[in-house]
Amino acid sequence: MNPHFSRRLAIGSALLPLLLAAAACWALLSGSGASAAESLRTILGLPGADDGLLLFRIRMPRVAMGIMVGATLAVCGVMMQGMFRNPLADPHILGVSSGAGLGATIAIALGLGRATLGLGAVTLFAFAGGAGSVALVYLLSRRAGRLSTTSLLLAGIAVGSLFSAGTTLIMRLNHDKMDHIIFWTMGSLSTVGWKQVFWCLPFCLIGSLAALIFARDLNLLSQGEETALHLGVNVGRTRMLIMLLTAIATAGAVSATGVIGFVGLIIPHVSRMLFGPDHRRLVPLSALMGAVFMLIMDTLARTLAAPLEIPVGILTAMCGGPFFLWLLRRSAL
Amino acid sequence: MKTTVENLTYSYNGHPVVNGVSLSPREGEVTAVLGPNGAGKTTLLRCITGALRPVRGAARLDGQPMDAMPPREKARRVALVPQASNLEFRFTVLETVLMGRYPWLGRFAAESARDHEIARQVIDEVGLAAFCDRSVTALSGGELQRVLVARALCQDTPVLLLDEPVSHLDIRHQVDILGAVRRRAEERGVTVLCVLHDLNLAARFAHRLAVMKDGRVVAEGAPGQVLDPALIGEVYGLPVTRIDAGGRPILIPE
Repeated sequence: MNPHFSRRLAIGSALLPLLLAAAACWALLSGSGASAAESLRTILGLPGADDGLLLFRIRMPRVAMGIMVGATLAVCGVMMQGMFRNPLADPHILGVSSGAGLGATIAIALGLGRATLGLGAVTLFAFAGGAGSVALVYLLSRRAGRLSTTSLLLAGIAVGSLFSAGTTLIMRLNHDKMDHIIFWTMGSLSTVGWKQVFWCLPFCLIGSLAALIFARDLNLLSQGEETALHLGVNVGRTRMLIMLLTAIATAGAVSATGVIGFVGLIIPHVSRMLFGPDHRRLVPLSALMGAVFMLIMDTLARTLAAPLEIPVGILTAMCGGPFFLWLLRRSAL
Repeated sequence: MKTTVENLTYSYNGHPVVNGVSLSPREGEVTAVLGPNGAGKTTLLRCITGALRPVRGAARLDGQPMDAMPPREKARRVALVPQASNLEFRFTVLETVLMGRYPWLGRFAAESARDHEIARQVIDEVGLAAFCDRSVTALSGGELQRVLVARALCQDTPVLLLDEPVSHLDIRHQVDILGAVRRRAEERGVTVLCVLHDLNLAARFAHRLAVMKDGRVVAEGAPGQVLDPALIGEVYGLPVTRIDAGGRPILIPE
């Protein structure tokens, strides 16, 4: 094991699960509607407990979703940065979020409400948009059966801008629904219930499992494609699978919560800086760190200006941006 | 392992960079590939590894075409030392060299004590024993180049390709590294194909030389025979004088 990081790895592996537990407790106990003491009584089933509706139907699924989405975005960011060897890569890089945004916007503009499985049409449209945009990027950047990293990134940017333009156009034509659309594109966990949690769970599992399965391949891919090929990685197939599974996981997460930026960009950098570049350790620790970060941000989002709710995407950007700049100045990433 | 290159041709934008090259490097020998810039030496190596797909011809291992081989199978047979490349992630020297064990490991298997032993031994061979725990991003160009050689040696393959493996090394390390490569060939029967620019180092460390120009092999044979002043003068467009010292030819530009 890398001696620069071995102590930090030990500390991180011990501390992060504790931090996650603490953040989850804090998230469950705070917020408007029930005080910490009341909530605690409800959890422990002590006298004076309420019916637990708020706690079990609203706060708990929200905590579960925060953990899932934070972990998934972080892990997908780790995969994208390792695969593209690009510090700017994040889970949204191949147009997932713009596609999801367009899908959600269409659903909102058409005034579609409930769809199947008790899920909102917005969620399903967002998922379809996210998955569709990645498929489009993939098809556009394939040339003669080969896939170049540069054309993938450029196609991702082009498709992303196209879809964002579509979103803005629809917004312009539907003044009355602008607030709703903007709120969605900023990301929020405020509409999350158990149904959304169960919808998201398989996608998040897919993302995390993919990251664990391909951890060693990612180590080699981060050395460059040709090196990875010469060391025995089936580069074409591995890259396609990583891209596909990352896209599915991200689209799943985004479909339930809207676009939450910065988590997938910053958490991978911070954990790589703390714990080193070996993906076999980076993946689980980034997942934990993303979950903790997301829980803290979401709890702040609903308590800071209570009863008003701040879109969590604004908070992640406002806290993440300056922190990231501080890291950048402190040490070269 | 019998390695043959048959009539290999690779074109870039319709312009042939490698043009009908046939080579049969021998087991247990170092074959040096020489030639001026742009002669197609690197392209030849990349076609052999499958990083580039030749338009005609093929490289074969024991008669089996290499481009039909799954990457993992190929990486157990052929290792390549690329021209110096940049490494951006902060892996240590030991971790980087251990990546050479990848084709031999199961997906979830951790590197065994044996893998570590192999890695430490090759790190020692390239003179980096004191650098094991150093981050590869903090190495000099020459140190990094020796890490890349060690990683390829760690792959423990019967065929070893090297693309200018000593271009960033001082004279002592040039001799050490090429000595280690030649020992590999002679002691383990490895087939070595090595692109070199220094004709005199090639004469000292290679058993055979192949000279390329404009995508073709224009001469092939033992160093004493290939390093003919008239031939070399014509290939490089530079008149050279030959001195023979200690049974080896030495070429000096006039």
